[in-house]
Amino acid sequence: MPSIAVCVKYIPDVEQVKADREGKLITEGVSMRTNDLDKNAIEEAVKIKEKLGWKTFAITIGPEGAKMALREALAMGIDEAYLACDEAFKDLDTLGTTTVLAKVIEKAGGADLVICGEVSLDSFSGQVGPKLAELLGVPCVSCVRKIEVRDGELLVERALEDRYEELAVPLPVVVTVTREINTPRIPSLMAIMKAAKKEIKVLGAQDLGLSAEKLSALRAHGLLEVIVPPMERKKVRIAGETPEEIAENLLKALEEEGVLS
Amino acid sequence: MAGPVLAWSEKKDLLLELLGGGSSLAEAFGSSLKALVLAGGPEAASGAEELAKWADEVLLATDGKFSVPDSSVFASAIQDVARSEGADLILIASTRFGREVAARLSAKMKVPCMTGCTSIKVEGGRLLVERTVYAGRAIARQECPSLPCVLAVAPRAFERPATKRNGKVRTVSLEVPEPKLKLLSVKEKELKGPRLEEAEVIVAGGRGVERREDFAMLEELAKLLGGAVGCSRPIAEDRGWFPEWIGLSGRKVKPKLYVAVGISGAIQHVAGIRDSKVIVAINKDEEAPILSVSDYYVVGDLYQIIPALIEVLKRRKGQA
Ligand SMILES: Cc1cc2nc3c(=O)[nH]c(=O)nc-3n(C[C@H](O)[C@H](O)[C@H](O)COP(=O)(O)OP(=O)(O)OC[C@H]3O[C@@H](n4cnc5c(N)ncnc54)[C@H](O)[C@@H]3O)c2cc1C
Ligand SMILES: Nc1ncnc2c1ncn2[C@@H]1O[C@H](COP(=O)(O)O)[C@@H](O)[C@H]1O
Repeated sequence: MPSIAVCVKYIPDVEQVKADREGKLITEGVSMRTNDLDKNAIEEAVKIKEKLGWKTFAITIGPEGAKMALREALAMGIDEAYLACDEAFKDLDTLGTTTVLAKVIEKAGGADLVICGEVSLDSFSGQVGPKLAELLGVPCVSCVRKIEVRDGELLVERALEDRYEELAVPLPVVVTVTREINTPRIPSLMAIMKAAKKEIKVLGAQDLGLSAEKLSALRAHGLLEVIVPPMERKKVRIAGETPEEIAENLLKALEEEGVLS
Repeated sequence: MAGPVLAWSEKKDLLLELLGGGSSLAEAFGSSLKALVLAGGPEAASGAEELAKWADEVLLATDGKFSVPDSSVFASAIQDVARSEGADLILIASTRFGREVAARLSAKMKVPCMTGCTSIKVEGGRLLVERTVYAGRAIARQECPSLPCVLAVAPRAFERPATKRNGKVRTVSLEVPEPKLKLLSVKEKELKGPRLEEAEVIVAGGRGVERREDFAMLEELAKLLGGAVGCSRPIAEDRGWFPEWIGLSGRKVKPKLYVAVGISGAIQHVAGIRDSKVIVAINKDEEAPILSVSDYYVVGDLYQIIPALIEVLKRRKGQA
């Protein structure tokens, strides 16, 4: 039976990050959540499973707490979950992340289709999907907003800045998906409770045959700082008894700003 | 003294921008600046002469296989050229396809890669990069740890070139692998060019605008204010009412006046309007995030407020 791997990242809620006094990013105390686009990736895998009966599994590289992302994937209908968790996996660069993902996929018996998000909202690199394709030696189509499986081939629609492309690509393949591909389902309470009882396979560097030496060469370096530019605005509420009065008041304010021609 | 700066993009206008920024990087490195054109046919090869004015050399490879948008094929070709030229810095325009190619290329070469770079500088021999992170909320400052490296540059991060280098076009022949993708069809979008980037006033509609026809209202308001109409991504990509949108993944705008109508203000949207002088929000939800990033806001129904604004503006114009 063909199988689908979904790569899921657990990230700080990007809407909640703040700056300290010096304008540097604070992520402490910010709640974590599944990368938005990875929910689209999960949804698409589950849809294919429901239609064609393919086996699905989800992979997350992250700390113990990242199991939450996998629980969510299981509750949405993914069959199996793998957490790659090891001190040595901390601060990997994208090639490192990809190396670990490729090993987990191998361990899980390979995948005919790998689905990633277009980007992870925190690191915003969009590199993991294409790099994974390179390591697996398979084609890649990123920014896909439609997928159809037909006769061992994948028909996809890729959304680029200036056009949409319809492409046919043989399996195995890596695709990355955009937010437009589907609306991720919200799992029922029953499904969430069932998922909580499912096994999550935890794999460390040793289980994956990755040496500390190899991994240390794949560590991200060079990050100097992360700045949150201020977004200071006046925030003046314009009120009035009637829509006309509100309109008058708003236009008066804009006139004073000198932005009405 | 480092190896050449090599620039490639599937888009000619963006390749020109890469030469603009690449020129000062090549200077700082004390190296040369080369552009790479991978053309699927003679038509795609045209314009290489023009590019050569702004580079020390344009390398031109023509092969039918480049008419299939397979990132693996492009990455393999760029790798061949980078190797034979000894390139130390490879610049690629960070379009959706360019980003894919950059990532694959760097994985092939086992070298560092950064995407979406908004600034690249050489300071004290260090290669310093800024890129957008946290969905547009933050900027990461990074040092490129080693050369060679691949940097995917955000469109419009670089100016077009100003100093001529008057290079020549050199035809190169490459062993290009067979594409694995088949291009079945292409639907071009009707883009309106830099109209939005240049607009002084923008009235933008979001999912709060219920029907396509209702945008007529926004258009009328925009006209009265002397501006253009824009929209959020779902209006373009989910509903298909417009070919392009405003925001991090769309157009970044900097008008004097930005009016967000029925737009919630997700960070990806806000990242594209940050440089506006005055932001006005009209939203019926008191909790909508857009309100806290606006200068003036109205909590109310756009279907009442917009007609009232049009009414009052018309009356004023009539009196003038
Ligand atoms: C990687 C990535 C990149 C993205 N890039 C972009 C981008 O570049 N640009 C972009 O816009 N989005 C982008 N998005 C999508 C973004 O996250 C939001 O989903 C999107 O901006 C929401 O659009 P909206 O505000 O129109 O719709 P909604 O969030 O649904 O908001 C509609 C708003 O209208 C208000 N409203 C409804 N009816 C009325 C009424 N009658 N009167 C007044 N107000 C009303 C509601 O209160 C609500 O606030 C991106 C997402 C991802 C994952
Ligand atoms: N730590 C991770 N664990 C699992 N998948 C990941 C991880 N990091 C990135 N990915 C996948 O790669 C995609 C793109 O991430 P990025 O290249 O970081 O923008 C994400 O949407 C995920 O599908």
